[in-house]
Amino acid sequence: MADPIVDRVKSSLGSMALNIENPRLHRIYATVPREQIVAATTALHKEFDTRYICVIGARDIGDNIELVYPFALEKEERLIVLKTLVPKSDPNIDTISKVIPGAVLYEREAFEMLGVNFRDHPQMEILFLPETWGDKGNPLRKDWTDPRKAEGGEQ
Amino acid sequence: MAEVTIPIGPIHPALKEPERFMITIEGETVVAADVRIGHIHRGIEKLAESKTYIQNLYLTERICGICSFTHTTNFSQATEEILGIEVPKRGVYLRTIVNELERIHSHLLWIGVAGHEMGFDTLFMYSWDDREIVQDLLEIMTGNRVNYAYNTIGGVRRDMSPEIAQKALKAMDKLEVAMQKYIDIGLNEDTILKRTQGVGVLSPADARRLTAVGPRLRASGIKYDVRKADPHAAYDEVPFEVITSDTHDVHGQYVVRALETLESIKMVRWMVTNLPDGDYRVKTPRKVPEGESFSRTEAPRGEDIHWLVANGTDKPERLKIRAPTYANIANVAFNLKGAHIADVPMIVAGIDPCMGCMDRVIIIDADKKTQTVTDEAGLWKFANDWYANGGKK
Repeated sequence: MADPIVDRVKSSLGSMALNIENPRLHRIYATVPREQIVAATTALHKEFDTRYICVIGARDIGDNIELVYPFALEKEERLIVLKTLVPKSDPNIDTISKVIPGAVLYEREAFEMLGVNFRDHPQMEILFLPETWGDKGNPLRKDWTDPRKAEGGEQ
Repeated sequence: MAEVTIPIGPIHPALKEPERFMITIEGETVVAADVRIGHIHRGIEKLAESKTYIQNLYLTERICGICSFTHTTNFSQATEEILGIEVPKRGVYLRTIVNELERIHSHLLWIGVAGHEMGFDTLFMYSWDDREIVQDLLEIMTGNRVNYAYNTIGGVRRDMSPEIAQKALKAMDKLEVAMQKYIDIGLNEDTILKRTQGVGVLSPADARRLTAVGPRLRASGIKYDVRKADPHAAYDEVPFEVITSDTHDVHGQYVVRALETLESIKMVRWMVTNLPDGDYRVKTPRKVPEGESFSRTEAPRGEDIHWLVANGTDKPERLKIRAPTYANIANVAFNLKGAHIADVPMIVAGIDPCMGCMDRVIIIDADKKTQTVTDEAGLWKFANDWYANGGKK
């Protein structure tokens, strides 16, 4: 049975959506280009009043970093996941925290763990890593090795 | 009046877990709050990439010492979804029973902690004593009191015998009587009313804006529960009510948790009575095909989400975990501002924070002056220079 919410996601995202999947009830995945992440978030916000973002997930997939933005809808009871790719050679993307204030901390986590820079973020600083971290890199990148290991120091 | 900044933590007799608060006060009012929490980031997400799925079950179990089961449920559900495996009904019910038992013990624990924070230690003693009923039941059912190791990919690891079912029903009767007592205390006890009413008020609009979850969200009058909104395990079959409160304060959170515990008791009773027959687990392959899934559960503290990406091997490609306290800490920082200093412990305790889940979060108020933090290397350099110069700078 076709989910009417999927059609609403399709119409609100319009040409921004490169791909929309509905693998099972309660889950809708939409891929958008990174330049349009704020526009797509705003469109969903207008259509569904999305305020609640669960998390921002980021992962290293070779030359790119994949970002996922799962929005839980309060009334429609769906999880809409916006996905986008950010190339490692130019790891910049606009912040969505102007539209969704709850995204502030999650963007900082993606920044420190995978080195994605969120433009216009109110406070683009490390979140979980220790203050003494310095330039030891982004630990969740696949090619990251612990520099403290090379020094032979404690880990 | 001059502003004074009081550092509390990371190691402090009043704190149960390592976290640091920099509270700037003017007179008795908090004007700025800097919460720097979780000096216990353990790199679990990175570690998960180097462990097999079965090993990861035990790893995710150790994210939290209290709501350990919700993390393994999430991890198992995410893996099962990618594998395309249907867990037998009996296994799903047993999983749901332990999930609810965990909620009961966690909420009783919170009532005790809240009592302790407001100087009402008698409540703490009583509620933790009654919590032993559910702890004993968990031990009989799963073999452990805290990290149950009960979930597995494809179901649960032990069956429930008719004797244990009888014990569970008896325990639920006892707990129901106890819970009525805590509801009565919560609604009538002067200490609780004075310390919680009007404290930490979070309006529904702010709760939505600051992504509050769990009892904190429902205490702000928003009827949202992942068990209803995104039914997992057996929650689409078990009858229960979502409890909300219209007082929006810490007292509302007490009421929500106490009534939620009653609902959980009813749910456990219903599930034990209507436990389906059959297998309680299925065998699953060690290797998980490529795919991804989002699994959400309603932990005692709120929504818990796991994002799992599999790459066809026996180890995950990526596991992202968002525990409820991480989502709730923003509204705590918001509520601390403008609060009375004596209410700080109640506001923080209100969300039932679990620092082990959340890892490490820093929130600094935009209008607060910056402060310089000398790092370890800087301190070493300073000390070495100081001694090299014969005690001069």
